[in-house]
Amino acid sequence: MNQQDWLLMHRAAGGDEGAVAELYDRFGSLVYKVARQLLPTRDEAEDAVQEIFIRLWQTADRYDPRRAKLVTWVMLIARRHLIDRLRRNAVRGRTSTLGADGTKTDPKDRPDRSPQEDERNSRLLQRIAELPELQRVVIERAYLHGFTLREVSVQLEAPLGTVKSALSRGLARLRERAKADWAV
Amino acid sequence: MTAATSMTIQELLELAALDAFGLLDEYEGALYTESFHHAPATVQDDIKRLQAQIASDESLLPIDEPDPALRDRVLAAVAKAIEADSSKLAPLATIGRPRRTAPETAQRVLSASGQFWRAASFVLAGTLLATAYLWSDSYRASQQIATLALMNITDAQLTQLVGPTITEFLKDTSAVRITLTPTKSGDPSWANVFVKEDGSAFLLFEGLPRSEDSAYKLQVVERANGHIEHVHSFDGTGLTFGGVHMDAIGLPAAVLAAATWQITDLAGTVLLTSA
Repeated sequence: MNQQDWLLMHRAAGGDEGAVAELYDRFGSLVYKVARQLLPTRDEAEDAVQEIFIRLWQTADRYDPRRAKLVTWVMLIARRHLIDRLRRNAVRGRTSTLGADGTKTDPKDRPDRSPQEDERNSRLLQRIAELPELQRVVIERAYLHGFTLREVSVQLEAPLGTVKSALSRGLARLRERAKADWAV
Repeated sequence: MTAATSMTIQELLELAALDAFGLLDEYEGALYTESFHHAPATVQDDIKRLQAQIASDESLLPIDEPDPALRDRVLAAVAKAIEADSSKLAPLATIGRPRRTAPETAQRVLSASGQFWRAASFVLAGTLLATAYLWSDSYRASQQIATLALMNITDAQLTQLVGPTITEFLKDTSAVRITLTPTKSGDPSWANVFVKEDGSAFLLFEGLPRSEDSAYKLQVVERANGHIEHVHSFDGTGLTFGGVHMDAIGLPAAVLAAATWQITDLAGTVLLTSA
């Protein structure tokens, strides 16, 4: 069991602002990048990061190092919050992820990505497009849009086990290809 | 757990990524967690490592770094939320109201200064983040109460409850805390063991079930080989709240911190466990 991570979360749960600062210094960049992936603008991503760290403080006392390392816990909390936010946006009629062709789906969102960022996102979307169809569709709906696997299974009229395998294999393949793309 | 209701090791490994991303639904997530806890320790370690790699993998993420000013905004937002939470504090007079429904037949025996005992157990339970309590707003409020109450409860009062040694363990930031929860649903008892780096330990417990033998055994189950090491026998009958200091348990602190702890009755029935 990682004592230091447990102690850090114990301190955070007690409202120790130094502990929260340490959490941000360790994971803030990673949390921000996930937020940028799923949300259309920098402003929204920054708002989400603030909400996520509040959530991390609120749930700090639930962290169990026997179950997962701290980075896994932090990213799980972050993703769940972002998916909730995506769903709220969808209910309000705002689509909030990249479209299949890499363009923003909401024309009101001002583009605020750097050219390098655009290139990286285009490359990712191209890689997703190259996947077998089921893997591609499942990844878009579950990983990028936040639908549960059960919802995707109903939408596609495919067995849940098939959807799970497709997502698992698709993500593994994407990670391999992405690493090859960005290897120095 | 029967084979029909648990995942195989292969399934645990295949679904590790989905679990790490929170993409399993509620039922499957619970089944995954249950199966994980029943898997061998080496498999658990492998899964934790794999999930950490997946969680920290940036190859699918944008390269955009956050604005440095975001740090201050995040910390200010959290500070504001913490402040807002503490301003919802209930008055100390509410200490003493039970936070969960105990079985009607349970007899919670309080000493003559019952209010003080209840407040003190509240304080220490809040400090120790006992998992027997519900994760709700009332819990968080009680934790704030506990923090404030700690400021007003002196070392002398704490010492009066469970002896002077407890303060050494509470103040030692390197001490590991292990939480033991009841094996029987609805049982309100709980226990915490603090283990220091020198191998000494302190057991705190509350509301152990009554038994005819009126004695309990604290044991350690070594993770590597399943060997059960008897740590201490003690009598907790009639005590709402008690503490036991153990000088030197004779096992390395790292082994103690990673092992499963359990409290059994004299017949060997496990009453509370950290598993």
